[in-house]
This record gives sequence, C-alpha cells and structure tokens, in this order.
Amino acid sequence: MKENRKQVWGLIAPTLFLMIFIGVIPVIYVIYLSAFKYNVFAKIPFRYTGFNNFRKLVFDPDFLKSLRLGLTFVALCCGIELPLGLLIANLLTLNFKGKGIFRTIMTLPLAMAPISIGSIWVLITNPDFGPLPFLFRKIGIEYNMGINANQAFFTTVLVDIWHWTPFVVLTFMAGLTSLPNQPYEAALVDGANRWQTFRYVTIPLLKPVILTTLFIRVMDTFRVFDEVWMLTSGGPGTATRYVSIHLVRMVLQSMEYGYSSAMSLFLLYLTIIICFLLLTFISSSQEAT
Amino acid sequence: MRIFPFKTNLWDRFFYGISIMFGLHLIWVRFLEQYVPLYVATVGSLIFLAILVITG
Repeated sequence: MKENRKQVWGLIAPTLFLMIFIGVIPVIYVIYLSAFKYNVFAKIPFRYTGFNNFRKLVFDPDFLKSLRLGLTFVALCCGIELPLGLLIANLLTLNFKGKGIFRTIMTLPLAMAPISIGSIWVLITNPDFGPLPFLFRKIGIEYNMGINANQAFFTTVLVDIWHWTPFVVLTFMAGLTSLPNQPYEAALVDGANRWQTFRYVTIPLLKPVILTTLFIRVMDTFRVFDEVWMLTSGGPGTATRYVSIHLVRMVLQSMEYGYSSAMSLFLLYLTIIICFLLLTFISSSQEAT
Repeated sequence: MRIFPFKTNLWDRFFYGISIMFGLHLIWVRFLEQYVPLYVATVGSLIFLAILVITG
C-alpha cells in the first residue's frame, strides 16, 4: 500500500510541480503585489498600501469604462456567435453539393494565430485600399475605424465573430451528431414540423453542449487581446480598450505593477464568478437530462 | 439548514466564502465605506464565512 502511494505521488509529481510553478506561485505573487504601490520609477518604488489598490480600482473611471466595454463585447460576440453557429451547424447536417469544401474553408480562421488575424483585418479595413471601406463607400457609408469609435468597436466584434464562429459550429456539430435518434422518431410520429422538432427536441438535448460552448466563449472573449491590439490598440481614444488591453497599457505605460496586480486579481475574480454561475447551470441542466 | 442549494465539500465552501467576502468588500468600498468603516464588512463577512463553512 505504501509502495503504491509512493508510485502515485511519483507519477503526479512532475505535473504538480509544473502547476505550482506556473499557476500557484504567480497568483500568490500577484496577491502579494496587489497590496503594494510598486512603481520602479517612483522615489520609493515599493510601498505597502493594503486594500488601497482595490479602493482605487472601484473608483477608477477608465477601468470601469473598459470593464463596461469588455462586458458589452462579450455579450455581443456570444449573443451573435452562438445562434449563428447553431444555424450553420444545423445547415451542415443537411446534404448538399460542396459541403466538404465549405466545411474546410469555414474552419480555416481557427487555424490562424490571432495576431495574424489582426494583421489581415488591418489590411481589410484600411481606409485607402481595404475592401471593406470600398464596399461601404459603394453603399454611401464613409468607413474609417481610425476616427470613428462605433465603427472600430463593431469591427472588433465582427473580427471576433469571423474568427470564432467556426469553433462554435464545430462543437455544435459534434453535439448534433451524438444526439440519439429515438426522440426525433417520436417527434415525427407525433406530427411535429421541422421548427417544433428543433425547438422542443434539438435545443433541450443540446443544452449541455450549448452551455459548455458559451462557458468557453465567455472566458475567451472576456480576455481578448491579440486581435484587438493588432487592429486598433484600444483606439480610437478608448473605444476598444477592453479590460485586458487596459491592463497591458497600465503595466507597460504607467508601470503601476501593484495597481495592475489588483486589476488582474479583480478580473480573475470576475471570471471565476461568471464561470461558477455557468457551471452551476451546466451541472443542473445535465442532471435534468 | 443549508445555504447553498447544491452539494458542496469543505474546500468548495471555503472557496465560495472567500469569493463572497472579496465581492462584499469591493461593494462596501464602492458604496458604503464613507458611512460605515470597512472593519464592519470584514467582521461580518468572517462570521458569514464561519457559518458557511460549518453549515454548507
């Protein structure tokens, strides 16, 4: 028994060591830093401030604005990606010509690095030679996201949808192919039409998959960085300065390490709360099915 | 009487308790600190944490 226990500890030790080294220790260090005013260029670089960084955080209008923007971004992206993904996944269950090619092309954005996607969209949205401003000009809209805050915001939403809808489609397709046949046969016998079958059979059966996908997407969208940084760098003004971009700007430009640590802890806290709520929904829906 | 409507173990309760404590402190600092000192929130949330860990 003792030998067995030693073997078990020996097997999990490398993973445990890695987890502690790259997960636990940095978090503890961030908690420690959040209690200090730490600016390398200040006269006294390291000064204990207790809860003051959090006190500053809840009254910081820039941070609160970036948080509001981030949450709007999450709501818009997830609110569009999920129904659109469900629609495309349902269409892909039908048989039509060119389905294989469509599926391959559709999944291409997933294979690209977010930073490359940002660069590609910088070219697409260039007001001088980009195809998107050209198309908008054709319908009488002047498109320049370098000066128009709303256009910049909606462009980042569009880029995220373009990039991540294929992921949603793939997970929904995996969910749809694993659904049992019997409920569909019963619905057919009861005379349900296509919409009723979708509404009362597919959606309830797919609920755990939908919630899990939502869970992943909410987490990912909340900490979006690369694409937006490449595309707008948070501008024009603060129009696309989402929380992670605001955080990086605080660290790199203001060098406020203590305050930034408090900010990242708050974001971690918010993510945990959102994930906890979603997980509770997921587990209760799995118990129900 | 249980506080959470689902099954939890000791670690879960402790974790949720700390999370609630942190949130309560932030809300207190934002809206109530000018009227009532933060110590009240700390003492109150510590009592709540103890009840939460014991009852679940």
